[in-house]
Amino acid sequence: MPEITDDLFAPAPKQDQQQKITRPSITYWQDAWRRLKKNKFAMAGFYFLIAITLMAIIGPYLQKSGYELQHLAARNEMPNGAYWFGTDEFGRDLWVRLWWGTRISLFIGIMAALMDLCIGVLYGGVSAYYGGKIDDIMQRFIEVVYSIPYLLITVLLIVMMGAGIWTIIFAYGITGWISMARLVRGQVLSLKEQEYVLAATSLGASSWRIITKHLIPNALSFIIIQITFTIPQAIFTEAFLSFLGLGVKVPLASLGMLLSDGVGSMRVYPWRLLFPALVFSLMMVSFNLLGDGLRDALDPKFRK
Amino acid sequence: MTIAKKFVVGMSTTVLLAGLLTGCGGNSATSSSGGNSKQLLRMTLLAEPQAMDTSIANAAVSFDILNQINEGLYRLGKNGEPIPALAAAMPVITNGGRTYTIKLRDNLKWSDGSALTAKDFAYAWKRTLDPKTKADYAFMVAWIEGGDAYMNSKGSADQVQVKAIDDKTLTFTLVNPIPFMTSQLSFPVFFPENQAFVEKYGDKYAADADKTLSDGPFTLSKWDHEQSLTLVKNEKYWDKDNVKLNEVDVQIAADNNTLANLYQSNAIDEAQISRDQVDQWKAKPDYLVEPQLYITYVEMNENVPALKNDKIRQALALAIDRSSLVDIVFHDGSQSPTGFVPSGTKDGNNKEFRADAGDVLPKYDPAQAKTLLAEGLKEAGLTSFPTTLKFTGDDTEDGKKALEFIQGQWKQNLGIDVTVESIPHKLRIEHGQKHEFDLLLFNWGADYNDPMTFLDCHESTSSFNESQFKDPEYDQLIEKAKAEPDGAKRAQYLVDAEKILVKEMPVAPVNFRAYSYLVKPNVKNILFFPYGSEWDLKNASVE
Amino acid sequence: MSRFILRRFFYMLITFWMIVTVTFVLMHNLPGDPFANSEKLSTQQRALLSKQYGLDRPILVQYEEYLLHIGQGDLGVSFAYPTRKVTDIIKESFPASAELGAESIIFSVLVGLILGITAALKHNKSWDYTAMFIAIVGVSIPSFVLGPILQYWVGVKWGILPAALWDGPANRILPALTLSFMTIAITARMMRTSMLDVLNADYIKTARSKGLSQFAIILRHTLRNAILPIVTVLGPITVNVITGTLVVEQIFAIPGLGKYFVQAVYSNDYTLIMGLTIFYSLLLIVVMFLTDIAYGFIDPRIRLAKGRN
Repeated sequence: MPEITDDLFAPAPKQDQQQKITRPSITYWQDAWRRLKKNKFAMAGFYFLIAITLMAIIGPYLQKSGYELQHLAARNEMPNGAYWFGTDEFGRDLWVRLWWGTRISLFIGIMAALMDLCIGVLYGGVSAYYGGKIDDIMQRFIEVVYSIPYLLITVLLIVMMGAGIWTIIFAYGITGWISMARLVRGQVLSLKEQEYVLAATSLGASSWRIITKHLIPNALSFIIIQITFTIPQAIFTEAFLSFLGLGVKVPLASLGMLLSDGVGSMRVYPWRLLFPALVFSLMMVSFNLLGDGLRDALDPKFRK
Repeated sequence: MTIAKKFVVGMSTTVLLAGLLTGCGGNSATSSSGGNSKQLLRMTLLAEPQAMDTSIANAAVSFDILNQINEGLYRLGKNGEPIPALAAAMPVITNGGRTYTIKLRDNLKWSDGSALTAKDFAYAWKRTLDPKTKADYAFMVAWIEGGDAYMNSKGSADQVQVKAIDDKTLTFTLVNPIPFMTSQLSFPVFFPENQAFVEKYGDKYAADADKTLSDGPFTLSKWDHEQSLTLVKNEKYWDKDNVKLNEVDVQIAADNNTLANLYQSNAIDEAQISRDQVDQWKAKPDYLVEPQLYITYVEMNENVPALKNDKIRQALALAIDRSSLVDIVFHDGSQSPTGFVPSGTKDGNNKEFRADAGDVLPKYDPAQAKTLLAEGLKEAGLTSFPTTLKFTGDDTEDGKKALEFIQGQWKQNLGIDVTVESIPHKLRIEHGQKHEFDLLLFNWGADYNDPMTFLDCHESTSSFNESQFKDPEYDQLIEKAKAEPDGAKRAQYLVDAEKILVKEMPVAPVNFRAYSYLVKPNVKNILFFPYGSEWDLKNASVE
Repeated sequence: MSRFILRRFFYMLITFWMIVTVTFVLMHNLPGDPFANSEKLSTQQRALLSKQYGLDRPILVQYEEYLLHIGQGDLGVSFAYPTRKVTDIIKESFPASAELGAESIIFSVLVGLILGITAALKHNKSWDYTAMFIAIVGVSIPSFVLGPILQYWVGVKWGILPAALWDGPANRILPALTLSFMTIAITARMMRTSMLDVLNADYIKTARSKGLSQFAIILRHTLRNAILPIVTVLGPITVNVITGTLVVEQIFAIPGLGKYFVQAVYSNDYTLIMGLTIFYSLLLIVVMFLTDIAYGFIDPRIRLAKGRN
C-alpha cells in the first residue's frame, strides 16, 4: 500500500487565469446606463432636469427679492434688467417666484415618488407574495379606492385638513400608489413562479431573503420606470388642484398656481403665463423623455 | 439630420409654439353695430339660479331673473327711488310710520290670465314666514307685527299683521317705523304669489320654466339648467307697451375669462368682468362701473387677547394701504373705504349717509400704525405680537388675493406674521358665526338701502357680530335709531354709532365694492342696481 | 366563463357597497354646515333646518335609511337647490358630459392609435420621434392652460369656432380637442409599446419568412394582437376624461355634470356629493367590469392566470 502523503493532495492550479474574460464584465445596470447614454432624447431630458433642479435650488438667490415681497410701485412690469421675468400684480419678482414654485412642485413630485415606493411597492409586493385570500382582499380594497373619483377624495381632504403642501402630498398618496402597487404585484406574481425562486425556496431561503435578494432586484427596473412617470403625474395633479383653487398656501406659489394665475392675465400680461408655462412644459417633457428612455434601456424586450 | 439636430428643432418648435399661443394680447374686436329688429338681448349669469320662488330665492343671480319675470308693488327707478308698479300710487302711511295701506292697479293679471289680487301678497308673505318654507329672507317680512313669532314657530299665521281688505287693497303694520320700507317693497321677498299655482306644484314650484308663473315684464319660456334661460315678453303685463325687448337669452357661465371671450367674439351683449380684463376694456364705451352697497372688512376677534386692545386693532387697520388694495386686488372700480357704510347708502332721510357722516376712517399711515402697535402691546402687557394668529377668508380669487395682499402689508409695515387660510365660503361663514377665528376677511352686501343693514350687525346681540364687539353705548344708539320715527334724528343716531366704530375699530374696512360690466353700446336703458337684483331690463332695448 | 363573470359581478357589488359606505362616512366628517346657504340665516333657523333634514338623528339610523333609498335608486334632494332631485340633476347634466367625453375618447383614441402604430413601425426613426414627441407635448400642457389659449386664439382672435357655450355641433370642437390631448398621449404610447412587443413575436417572424407582404402582416397579424392592451387602459382613460371634463366644462361654460363636483363640496351639499360619487363610481365600476369581461373573452389566459395586472 503506497504511502499517502500530503503532497498528493496539493490543490490544482487555479483555472481563473484561463477563464478570465478579456473585457470586464458588464452588470445589468452598467449596460442599462450605457444604452441610456446612447439615447439622446433621454439624456437631453436628464440634463434639462438637472438644470431645472439646480435653478430651483439656486435661482431664488440670484435676485435680492423674497418670493413674498411686494413692490407696489413696480406692478405688472415687463421682463427687464431689474426683474428678469417681470413682476406680478403685487409687484413681486416673478423670477424668484418661478424658481420657488419649481422647487415646491419638484418637492411634491419627489414626495409622491417616495410614497409610491413605500406604500405601492410594499402593498403590491405583499399582496402578490402571499397570494390567496390576502391577495383577494387587498385587491378588492384597491378596486374600491380606484373607483371613487380621486378628485373627490382630494377635494374632501383639502376641505377637512386645509390647503397646503402636505395636504396635497397626502391626498396624492391616498390614490397615487395604486398603479405602482398593481405593477409590482404583477411583476412579483410572475417572478415568484420562476425556477430560481423555486430553487431558493427549496434550499430553505427565508421569505425575507427571497424578497430582498430575488424579487425586488428583478422588479426594480419596472419600479424605476414607474417612478419617472409618477413624479410628473404628481406635479400635474398639483397644477390641476391649483387651478381649482386648492393649491399651496399663499404667498408661496407652486408652478400650478403661477400657471393658473397667468392664464387669467395672458392677454394683457403674457409673460406671467409664458415663463411658468415654459418651465412647466420643459419639466414635463424632460421627465417623460427620460422615462421613455429608461424604459427602453431597462426593459429587456427592447434590447437589440 | 442627426438626432440631436432634430431634437433641437423639435424643442425650438415647442418653444415657438408656446410663444405663439400665449402671444401678446392686444387688439380686440370692438362690438358690432347695426340694427336689431328682433329686439333680442343676450345677457349672462355667473351661476345657475335657484328656483324662481320669490320666498326662497337668496342669491343675486336668482334676483336678476325674478326682477324681470316678476314684479312687486314698486320697482326701483334710476336713482333707487320707488316707482309704483303693481301699486297704483305711493302708500298711505299712518300710525306713526307703522301702518301702510296700498291700492293696487286695475285689472292686474298673472301670465296665465288669472286675476292678481291683494290676497296674493298676503299669502306670499305669510308663506315666506312659515318656518316650513325655510326662507333666508324671512327676517325682512318679520318686520311686520307678528312676523317674528310666526317665523320662529312661536305664533300663528293669523297673528301676522298683513291683510287684504279687498281684492285691490293691501294693508300691513310694522313693529318699528322703517323709513326705507316703500323702496324695500321692490325686493323679491315682498312679491305676490298665486296660491293655487304654488300649491299645484308643491315642492317643484318654480323649479322649471313651465312651473313658474309671472306678473312682470317677461315670462320664463325655457330653462335649461346650468346652461341658459330664455325670457320672452309677457303679453299679460299691465305695462307691456313700455317693454321693448321681445326676447332675452341668459347664458350661464362662471368663468370671467370665458365671459370676456364670449363678449369679444360677439356671442353675448353683456358680461361682468374682473381685474385683468378691465385693463383691456376700460377705455372703451362698452365699459361700465357700478358701485355696490357692499363692504369688505377684516374682523378681529376680541376673544384673542392681543386683539382685545383697541390700539392694536387700529394699528392693524392703519397698516393696510387700502387704495392700493382696491386697485390691485379688485381693480374693478372698487373704492377705498371711508367709513363703515359704503358710499351710495341712503340715510333714510333722503340724503346720502356718507354726506352726513363724512370721511371718518383714518388714512393709511404705517408710521402711526407702528406707534399704535407698540403702545397697544404695552397696554396689553405683551412683549410682542403673537406669531400664531390665523387670517381666514374665502377661497375665491378675490378673497385669496386680498388675504395675500393684507398679509404682505402687515409683514412689511408692522413686521408681524400671520398665517393665511383660505377656505370655502360656507365654511368661512360657519367659522365666523361660531367665532372660531382670529382674523377673518368678511363680505357683507346690503339687504336694503339703509345704513342699518351695515351697522346693526355690530350690535352685541346680533348673530352677525362675529368679532364679539361689545359696547353698551353703541347698542343703545342702534336701538334708539330703530325706534325713532323722525328721519333726521334717526340719521344722527346712526352717524354717532359709526363714530364709535371708528374709535373702537372692531373691524377694519378695506373695500367699498363695485362691479365692472361690459355692455354693447347699441344696448340701451339697462338699469343696474347697487344691491339685490343686479339689473332691470323692463325698459331696455337694442338699437 | 360564466363562473368568471359571476365572480366578477359579485366583486363589483361588494366594491359598490364599500364605496357607498366610505362616502357616507366621509360626508359626515365634512366640516361645515350644509345650511350655511348665506350669511343671512340665523342660528335658530339653522337648527330647525337640520331637524327637518333628519341630520340630528343617530348616524346609524341615517345610514340605514340612506342604504334603503339607494336601493330604490333615490339619491335624495340637493341641499343647495332644494327643488331639484339629485337624480334629476344627474339626468339633466350628464348627457352633455357624456357626449363630450365620448367625442373626445373616439377622436383621441383614433389619433393615438395612428401615432402609436406609426411610431412602432418606424421604430427609432424620425417618424417615431415625431409621433412620440407629439404625444409627450400632449401631457406637458395642463388643460386649464390649453383650453383658454385655444378659446382665445381660435374662438376670439381668429373667430373660426365658437369660443364657448353649448349651442351647436361647432361648439363641441374646442372643448373636445382640449380634453383629448391627455388621452392621445396615453393611447399612442400604449399602442407603440404593444406594437413593438408583437412585432418582435415569433409568429410575426414566421409570417415574414413565409414571404407575406409588410402590409398583410401589419393588417392581419400585428394590429389585431397589438390593439388588445388598449382595452385595459380604457378604465384609466375614462377616469382621465371624467376629471378632465370638470375643467373643460368650466372653461367652455358647458352644462355638464363635472362642474358640480367641486361646487357641491364647497357648498357642503351632502346629498349631491354622495349622489355624484355613487354615480361616477358606479360608472367606473361598470366600465372596469366590462373591460374585464371583454378582456376575458378576448384573451383566455386572463381567466386562468387571474394574477396579471
